[in-house]
Amino acid sequence: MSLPFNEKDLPDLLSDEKSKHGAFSAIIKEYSQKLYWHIRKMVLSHDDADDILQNTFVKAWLNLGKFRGDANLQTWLYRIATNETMNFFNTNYIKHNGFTSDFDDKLADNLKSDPYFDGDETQLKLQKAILSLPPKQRLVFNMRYYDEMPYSEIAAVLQTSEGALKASYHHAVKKIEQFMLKCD
Amino acid sequence: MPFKVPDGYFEKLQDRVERRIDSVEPHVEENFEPRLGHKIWLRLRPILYVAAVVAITYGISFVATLPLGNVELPGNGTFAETYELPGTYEEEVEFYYIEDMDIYDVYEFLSMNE
Repeated sequence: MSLPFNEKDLPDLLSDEKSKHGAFSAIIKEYSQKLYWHIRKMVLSHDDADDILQNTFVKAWLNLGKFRGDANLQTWLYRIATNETMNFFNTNYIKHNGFTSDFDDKLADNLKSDPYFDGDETQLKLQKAILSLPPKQRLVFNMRYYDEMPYSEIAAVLQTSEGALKASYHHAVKKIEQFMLKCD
Repeated sequence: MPFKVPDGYFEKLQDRVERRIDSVEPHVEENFEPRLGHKIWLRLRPILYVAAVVAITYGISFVATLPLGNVELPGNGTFAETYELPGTYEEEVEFYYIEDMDIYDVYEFLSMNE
């Protein structure tokens, strides 16, 4: 699936009232699944992922004027989705008085009874291991391990150097390994 | 990935997103032409908000680092006893986010919290 227009024409299409809605509908259709899974892997719950995904598209719509085509569209959308996801975590960490592990433990506990999670015990353990990482490191791990995104693309989304990302991913893998071994 | 979605979720998503967008679409007044003073105020307001936040935050940091107890001034005067202002985690997190936002995001954030 690809957009029914050239991405280079996007700034013009989005600034024209006649073509804006059609262009944005095509964007939703093209990117909704990618963005959904990017968010879902972080927040785990379908309902939360759905809410954040909708916020992402609303934010994108309201800020179309800022999209000038200097970043590619996917990178721009991923950035908005990532920011909305991080806002979700920070809001919930505040609600838990800064005890981040309390909220992360809650996510892990909810997963056991989640009707939209059909992993086995090993998968559950792996998700708990990933949850033990700080949110930003979790993002890097998910994008590299599950999405197999090149470091250059991750760097563009997170606006972090490739070197920092490689180090972060390496540490994330080590931490997950240690977590899995500790639980055995 | 061990995750599932409800049946038909992605098929119905576009309509739901478009309905949500319609519900939050900002109202734009037709033929609105701000007065010159109002125009200048609109341009300056985000900058003033940011300056106010930075000034308040540095003010809090400055007072919070003042020593407790009486401080002798040059000459014969002394300060009254100072106290540490309580800093809250929420304020620190908000300031962290403000540092990461561009000026229009800060304006929007502060406007929502007026």
